[in-house]
Amino acid sequence: MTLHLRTHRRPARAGRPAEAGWVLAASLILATMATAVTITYARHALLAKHTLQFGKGASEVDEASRSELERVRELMRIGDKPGTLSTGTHDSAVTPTGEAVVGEREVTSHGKRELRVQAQGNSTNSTEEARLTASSTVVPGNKPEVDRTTLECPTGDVVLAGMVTIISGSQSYVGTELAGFFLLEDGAELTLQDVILRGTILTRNGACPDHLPATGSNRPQLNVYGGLKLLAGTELPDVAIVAPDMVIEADATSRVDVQGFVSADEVHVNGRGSVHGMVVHNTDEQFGSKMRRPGHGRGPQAWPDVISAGAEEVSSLSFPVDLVPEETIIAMETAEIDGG
Amino acid sequence: MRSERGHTLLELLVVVAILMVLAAIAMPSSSNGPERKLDTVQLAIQDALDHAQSLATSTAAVYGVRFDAEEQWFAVVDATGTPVDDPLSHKPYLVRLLLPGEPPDVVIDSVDFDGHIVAVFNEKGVMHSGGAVHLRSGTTLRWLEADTATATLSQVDVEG
Repeated sequence: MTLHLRTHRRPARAGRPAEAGWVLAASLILATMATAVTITYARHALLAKHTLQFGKGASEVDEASRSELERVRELMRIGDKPGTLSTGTHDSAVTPTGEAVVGEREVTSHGKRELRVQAQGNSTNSTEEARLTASSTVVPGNKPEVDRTTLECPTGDVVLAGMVTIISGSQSYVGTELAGFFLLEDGAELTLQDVILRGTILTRNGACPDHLPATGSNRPQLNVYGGLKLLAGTELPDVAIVAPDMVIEADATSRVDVQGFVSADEVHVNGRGSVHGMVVHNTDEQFGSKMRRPGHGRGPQAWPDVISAGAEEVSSLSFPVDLVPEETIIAMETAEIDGG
Repeated sequence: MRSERGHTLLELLVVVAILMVLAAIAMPSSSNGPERKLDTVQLAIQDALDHAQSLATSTAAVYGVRFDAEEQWFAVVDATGTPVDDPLSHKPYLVRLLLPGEPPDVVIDSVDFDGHIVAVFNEKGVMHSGGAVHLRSGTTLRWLEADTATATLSQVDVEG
């Protein structure tokens, strides 16, 4: 038997037809363009993330949800009286950057509200969404509504939300813990000895900017003996004393720790301790050498021109802010920064 | 012999991939509009202002945000001008708008806070003065003003 080994040899390729080459080229070009756009977008997104610290979570939708939460809180604050908010009150808005935000609040108990916020934005090629849920305590919390006190002012009343103790004569507290507003009428005298006060001390002139300040011996007076820890309360955050016509006297044996803004006509604090926050006064300031005033670093400040009394409460104080020395600013903008 | 049968699928894919990479590098971005880029930078600046204000309030000290329109960066600095640490990365809070060898997406055209290039917060967290930051992305301008009371940036419409 003879075995014939045969080699099948293909005929030489006659060359790809011209039209097939064009199809291949066109396909390559189209695929390249389509994928290039996608990759370019991804590349720039990655570069932006690296350059601008996207890790801080500063996307428009996140910002929108946070701002809406603040808005719902503010609406709740200025809306119905505490404790009477209806369930499911909705609020919706569209931010300047196009995110649609919806917020609602639900009464979960007498003094608690649950706030829910949803923000949705449409970016170039996707839909982003952010949700926030927060619990909020209604001021005055579980206290009855009678804690809201209306002060009659010459022009427009002021409502103080929270406990208000009105002192019209002479009143002393010794070895106790107090909370809320303490309103001193003209001529009143408040003596605190070994007291922790979480709140704000006001005078009539401080609460009602159009109430003429008391003068001379008719000025309200705060006397401090022993220890006083004055912590600004939640009703008027970061404000300890708003009393532009009051005299504050703390004797040499006192130990004073005040945290918050203080305004008074005269301040004589000769003991030891610290005052955190701005102190403004009209006529006289005297701090003992053992008093620390962290972050103060300023001379006497003039009493602010405006006290803004909102409808709900004494809500803001405005005062001249030209407080940072020019040399500090120049140092800040001329310092050598490594890699800057 | 094999080479005479034309290209394999793998070879084609490699060629396509190489072409895609080259095109991605060469092609300018067309899917990231200037407004979007400006929004991103505005948010980053607002973040820096908020952080400086928060530091000033919580520590009762002076802080600020310093801008450099020449080198194109901004940083949260303390009263001596030293950048503070970013609370997340624990690196200096310094944000660059330029990458080496890259064309700029957004640039700071000018900064003016009462004649200074730093937005300063006093010990109570109140801005020393309001100010303006002008940004540009290509031919698109954005003028931002910082509110003294709230340190919030807002856009200002500019004619032309």
